[in-house]
Amino acid sequence: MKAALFSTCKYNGPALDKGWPVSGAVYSRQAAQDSMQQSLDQFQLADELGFDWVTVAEHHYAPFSLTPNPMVMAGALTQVIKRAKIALLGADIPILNPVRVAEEFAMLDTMTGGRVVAGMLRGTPNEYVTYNINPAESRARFEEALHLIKMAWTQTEPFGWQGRYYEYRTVSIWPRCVQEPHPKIYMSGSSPEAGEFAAKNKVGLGFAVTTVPLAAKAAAHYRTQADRFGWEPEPEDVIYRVAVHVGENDDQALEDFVEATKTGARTGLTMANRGLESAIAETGYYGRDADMQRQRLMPRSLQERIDQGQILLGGPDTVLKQIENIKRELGAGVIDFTVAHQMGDKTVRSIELLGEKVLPRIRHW
Amino acid sequence: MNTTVNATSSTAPLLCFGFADADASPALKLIAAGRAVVSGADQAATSAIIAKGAACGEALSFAAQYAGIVESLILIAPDEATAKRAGEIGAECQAQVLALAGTLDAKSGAAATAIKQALPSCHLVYVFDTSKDMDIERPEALAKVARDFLARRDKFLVSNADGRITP
Repeated sequence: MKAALFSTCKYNGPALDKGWPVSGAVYSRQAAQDSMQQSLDQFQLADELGFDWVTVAEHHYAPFSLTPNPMVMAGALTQVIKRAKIALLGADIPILNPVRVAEEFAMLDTMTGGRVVAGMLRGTPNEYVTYNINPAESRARFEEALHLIKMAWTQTEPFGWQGRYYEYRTVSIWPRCVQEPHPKIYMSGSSPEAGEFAAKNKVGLGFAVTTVPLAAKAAAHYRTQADRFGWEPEPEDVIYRVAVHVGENDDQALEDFVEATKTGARTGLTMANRGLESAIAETGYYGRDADMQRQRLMPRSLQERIDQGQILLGGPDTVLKQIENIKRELGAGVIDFTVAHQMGDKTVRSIELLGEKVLPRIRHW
Repeated sequence: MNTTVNATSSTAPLLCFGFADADASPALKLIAAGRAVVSGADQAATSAIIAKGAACGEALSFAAQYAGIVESLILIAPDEATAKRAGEIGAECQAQVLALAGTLDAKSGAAATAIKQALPSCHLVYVFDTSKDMDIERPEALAKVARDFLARRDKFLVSNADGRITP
């Protein structure tokens, strides 16, 4: 089993962290700079500790994440991360220029000598407001954009594209990807439609902001569909992203976490603005099992989050058991550890404990 | 072959190869945009030619034969034989060529790529989510790029769309 360290590059400073989008009225420029540096330092530590990947992602308009363009952070990481792969999980391709995305991934792949993992996501529902894209078009835009990006990576002759959502008269990207034919692609796979598309197009599947039972069901659907299309996903085709805080022992981990989050649990980007979420849901964004998709975004208590596999919390042995459960239920081959809450030295120690006590064990699973 | 020559004009007839019923094709109506649509190699040579599938090779030969008259040649889902013919003709083809391939049809994609490599004045465009029958599957998409190419030839690379949301 492979291990990744994901950080949203959360802003640790004064903020009116209510709703979405979040006002910048009390924004601290210095805190933002420090927060970015902190994330870079933690990624560097993960690389030194033997994590297989470091992961960045795209989110907009909130202190939850300072990487609205994760490609920029990944560009910085190419100069810091010497061994691990740099995973972008991912670019929200329906709201972006797909040719630009293809170019940026190819740049990163070239700068790292072929150590880029290409996550292509629809993004959280709120992201559609960011660049004024109709969420009803999300899935169709995603599918077309992914085809276009793959074509941009693989077609060596200049070509044009006459699509439903994208039109280019000539595309011929430079540089090209180092990995042939292109970096490994993952997409988010919580909905049945996503699992079917991923299976048909032989791309990997990632799960985030979900629960182990929901992800297990979706992973089984993906494998069934892959079988229909004549192939069998490898364990590494399935990623499970999960929040984590490891302490020296269970009591200390819980104490750290409760202390750090006593000001209130975060509601998540989408549910931070219920009116917006409801309006997006009305467009059909969630697909054919909308109720389940919305359910996985609902806030839960800490105990529920632990029980449902949304957070790994405890000493190394407890966390190992929690990971074992994820491996067993999903067959996931990559676990994408998310810093559950930035706690300074305690977070650094949590990453160290993962690297020293957890990774050596799960590597052989 | 009994062929006469039409004067070159933006309103010259659109000469078709390989369409089962050109008069009934919605895509051809959209592409012709008021031009007359005529079929077959016994027609007068004209400035604009459009061909589909296995007939693309014949259209390519016709364009080479009437170099200087044929200005624009559109090849829809060309086959391997057309790619081979393009290799033989090379720079003899003075017409500007638009080779169109459906993203669901790997064979015509490979052929269109080979044609682009063989003909200096060829543009390759993929029509998303179509096969070799893109004229039936997505006539509006085909017509959009084909009409632009016929009207502006290689200037079609440069957008002339009005990007303003409001005046």
